[in-house]
Amino acid sequence: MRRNLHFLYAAALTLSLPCLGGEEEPPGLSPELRAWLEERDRKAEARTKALLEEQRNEFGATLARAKAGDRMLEAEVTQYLAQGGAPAWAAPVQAQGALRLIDVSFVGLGVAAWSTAEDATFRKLFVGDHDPRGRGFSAPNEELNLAGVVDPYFRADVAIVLSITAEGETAIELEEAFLTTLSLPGHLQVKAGTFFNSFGRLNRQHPHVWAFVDKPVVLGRLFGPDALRGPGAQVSWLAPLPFFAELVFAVHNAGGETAVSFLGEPGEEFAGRPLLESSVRSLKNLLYLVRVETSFDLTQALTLVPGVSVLFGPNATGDAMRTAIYGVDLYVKWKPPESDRGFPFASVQIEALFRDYEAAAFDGLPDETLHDWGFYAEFLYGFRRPWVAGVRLEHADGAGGPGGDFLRDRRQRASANVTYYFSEFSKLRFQVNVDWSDTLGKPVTSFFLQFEINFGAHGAHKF
Amino acid sequence: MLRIALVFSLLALGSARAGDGRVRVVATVPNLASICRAVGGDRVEVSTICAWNQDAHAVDPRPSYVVKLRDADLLLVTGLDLEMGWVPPLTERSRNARVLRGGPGYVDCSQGIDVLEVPAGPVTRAEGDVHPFGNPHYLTDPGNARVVAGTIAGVLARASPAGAGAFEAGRKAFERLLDEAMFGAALVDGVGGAQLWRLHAEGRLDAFLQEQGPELGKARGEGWAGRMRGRRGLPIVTYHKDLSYFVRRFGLEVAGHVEVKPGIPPSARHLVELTETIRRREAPLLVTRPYAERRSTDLLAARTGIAVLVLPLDCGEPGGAQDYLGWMDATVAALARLPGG
Repeated sequence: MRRNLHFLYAAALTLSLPCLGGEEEPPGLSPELRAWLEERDRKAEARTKALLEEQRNEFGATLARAKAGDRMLEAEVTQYLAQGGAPAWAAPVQAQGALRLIDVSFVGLGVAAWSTAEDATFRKLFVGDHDPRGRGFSAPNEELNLAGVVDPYFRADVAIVLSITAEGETAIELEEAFLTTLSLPGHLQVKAGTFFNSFGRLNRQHPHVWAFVDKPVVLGRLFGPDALRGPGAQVSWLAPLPFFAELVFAVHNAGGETAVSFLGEPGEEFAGRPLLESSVRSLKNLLYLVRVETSFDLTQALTLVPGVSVLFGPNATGDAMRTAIYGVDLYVKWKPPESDRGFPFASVQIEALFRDYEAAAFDGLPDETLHDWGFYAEFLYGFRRPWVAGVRLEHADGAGGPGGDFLRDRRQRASANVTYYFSEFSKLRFQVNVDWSDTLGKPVTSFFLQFEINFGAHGAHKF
Repeated sequence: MLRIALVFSLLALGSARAGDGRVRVVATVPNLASICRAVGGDRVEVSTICAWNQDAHAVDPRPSYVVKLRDADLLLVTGLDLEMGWVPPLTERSRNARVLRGGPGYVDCSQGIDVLEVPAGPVTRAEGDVHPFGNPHYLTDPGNARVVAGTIAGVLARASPAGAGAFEAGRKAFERLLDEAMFGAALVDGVGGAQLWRLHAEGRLDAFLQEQGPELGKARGEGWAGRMRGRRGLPIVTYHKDLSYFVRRFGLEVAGHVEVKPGIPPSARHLVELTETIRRREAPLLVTRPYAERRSTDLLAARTGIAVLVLPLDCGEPGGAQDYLGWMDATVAALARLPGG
């Protein structure tokens, strides 16, 4: 084929030469010279035509051979390989296609809300930074996602979130920006950058994959409005077992508003104690996660994903004060193989979290360990394409410390919703919440209408 | 801690492969797995992700699939973005660089296929779940199984050069079975497989056989080609656009689709229009899949009397066809049983 290309170039050149000559042609050409030039042009044209025809015929024949499924060439190659000298792995095999450099997508999330509580109380009930802001309309999570394979060794993911605050300001945050290794040996994978901590299930999910409008109470309490995230590194190991078992070990910075159970923000308060300035003096000042996640296919339709997570780190109520958070989680999904684009399905997701917080003595408060715990249980039923109904039950409580702390007192919540998926990329959700709290007196009822669009690159489905 | 490490390493040893030299292959769909088994014989160990009755567009990336991919030498995908929603999260989690897109073990089986319905110009999601690289259901044309068998024989030979001869023999044997199933043994012996496929694709087989004399002419009724001869030009309705390659191969016509657009379920208005089309074109048959909703097809059947055939898009149905050839045979049988011929 390359030989023929040379011919084509030659032909094109032959054609272009007389044209160039023509431009520079002096006005008074002798009839003989004119005739000779014309003859030359004619010949060149004929030759080019013949070459093109030959090219076309050969191309046509190749195409016909390929179309007819003639595997002569393949057989020759295979035979060549069989005669030895073939590398164990030859060139990668892929169909032709466009180069995929970066996948860009945007998630737009809007909520209209009404509640029996005034906005001040509402914001105490809904602590999540991507929860509705109060009565009326909210734009709590407008997310730009960038993802792509960097080279054969890394992929990269970035999530930049814009939102409109309760004050009407535009807030921007770098939610995640991390790389993931693709080709480490020993079934290892490293993640590095700033990213959601891999504790449990929901902490590492972006709001547009949540099955409910708002964040569960216990997660808001233990991990703060923005979820537990921050700069760090993670190593995970896929155990060489016949079933899925992943061991995750992660280290993150322990400070800032995205680590409220740990060093948090200096000047803020926790259970009556001010949070002190802190810096990383030793490895003890970092935050450590160990997680084990396994999975079992009970039947063709039923999948079980249990997990256990443990977090250790310092807190800033005093010197050498530590916090530990333990969690167990379970996800069960039923989806028959012959489901119609994912419907019907049913799933249960339960997470229970426990926190031991060593609080230093301060201003009459003793040196004590504060215990908090809570759980949420979500039940989803995709009863008919494209409808999903959901129910969520929650409980959160704390022991020890001064009373009257809205972030530690007993809270209970029941939520029910129904979601309609226009397509895989847009949905409308209606949700009702009832909140009970020791400090609130009578229960608060809230209504939400949430709309979400997700446009751009096709995001990967996660399990 | 030491005890835990010990348990883990013992388990690791227990699950380590015997090192029998077999090529470990994971195929996304059963038909690819079947062709790979036919070519690779006992030199390959093939497992499948998608079940026979599952829609390959919408598969949950269950963690157990990550384990399958962790140990795979080769991953066979249909390609053309059919599995793009779930294969990337599985391969990236598998920690197996071989089977990552671009890796030596990632095999896009659509290579060499004459792809249909490649959209011209830019595509948006306003057209539904349209595949920008063209229709990925190419294995509904048995001629394409020949191409795929060649691709698989090639990659198996690269993965295990010592078995190259055996893979080539396996490919030839599969090709012979496929050719015979398509045209009958008499024609394959008399004319040659490659020639038959070429003539059939160009619509010149009948004319050619007549020229060859009465003996070969008699044999033209055999095989899938023979059984489908009387069906040329027959209008059928399909639920999804997943029979296009079959329709082209056997010269059928598609009167309409139940889906408004790929992946978008029908509206009432679309069903009314389709009812009229079915009546006008007198389409006798509607082909749908085990995973497609039944309300629309039941309604169309009740309104027009069209016969609804629920056919799997892959082999492996318990009690049904267990391999690609059997599945194609059942598909041809179902469509050749049409009334009026």
